[in-house]
Amino acid sequence: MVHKYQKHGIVRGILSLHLCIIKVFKNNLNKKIMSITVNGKNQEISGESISLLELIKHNDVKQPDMVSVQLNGSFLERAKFEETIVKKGDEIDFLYFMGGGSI
Amino acid sequence: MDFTDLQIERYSRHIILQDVGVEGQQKILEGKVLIVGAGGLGSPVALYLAAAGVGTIGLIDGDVVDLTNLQRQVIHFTADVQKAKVQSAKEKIEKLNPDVKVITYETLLTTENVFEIINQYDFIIDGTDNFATKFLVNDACVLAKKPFSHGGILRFEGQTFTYVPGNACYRCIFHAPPPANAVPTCSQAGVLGSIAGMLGTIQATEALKYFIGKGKLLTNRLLVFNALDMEFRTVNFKHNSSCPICGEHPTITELQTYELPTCELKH
Repeated sequence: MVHKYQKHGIVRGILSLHLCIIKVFKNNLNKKIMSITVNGKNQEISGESISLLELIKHNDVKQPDMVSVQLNGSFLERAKFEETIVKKGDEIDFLYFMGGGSI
Repeated sequence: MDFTDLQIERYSRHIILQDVGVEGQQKILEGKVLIVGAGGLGSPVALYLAAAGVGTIGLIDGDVVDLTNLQRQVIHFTADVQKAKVQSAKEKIEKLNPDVKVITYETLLTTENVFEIINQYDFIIDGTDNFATKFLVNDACVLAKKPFSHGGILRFEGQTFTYVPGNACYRCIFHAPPPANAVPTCSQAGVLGSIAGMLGTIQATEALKYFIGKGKLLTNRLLVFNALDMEFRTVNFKHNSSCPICGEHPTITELQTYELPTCELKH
């Protein structure tokens, strides 16, 4: 036979556990995913922002030191790549040199 | 300008086209286009502009026809191997349309000759195969206020835009040429032959639209396509106020000579 106070303790324990589970569940629901547009296509990135250099890696940009980047309609100076942060709703275009040629 | 009966017949499909008509065809016949490079892009451009009746076509290329060219440079044939490209191209243009006057420059475009040459033309086509010359064409056209069509292809992709004075230029997107040999060329990475036709024909179309004055040119827009997915995309780009040549405080006021890439592949 469970003592009255033990029952109380068990109930509290179960309640805490439930609250804990709900909290974890809510945290996962609120986990930030942001939507950006890269080369005209939608991309979902986890987090509230991403550095441009990370985005370049994430998109497997070939020759990252040759790529030209347009962010929200303006071209970025290469010197600014490192400090640039991409946020939700941003539009990025990666443009590459294309020269043709037989040399 | 009076059209001969033969011309009315030859250009009938233009003349009956509402946005071209007799006036448009006349402008085309009076037009002068310089095609820089008689290769992958230059071939379809030359053929379609000649077919359309562009009155004067200038061709500049210092190269001779090589067997490896024939996979995509459709103005040259097997019997033309080792012949000067401008000569080979001129022969085909004259056979296609005797209305066209062809002026050939069997040489490279350089800082020394570029202004003297481009000043004789209304529209320039970049069909070059290296970045040094692409930037030269851009810079000379910006400084001389000449419209031109930029083009480049590689593997399965192509990109093009049209420069009209006062609008964005090549340096608005790409500030300066990449170091020589930093970017793969067709001989290193390959190119699907018909890509040259896809892009060159777009360039020819832009030139014709420029003459007839109808439609919207690819100004401030880079058309990019990937033929594997057959997806086309236009990227809008603004005239860059910090562009080194056409921006508010230009740092380039005269032509630059860049190193030409060296040949790694002996063909």
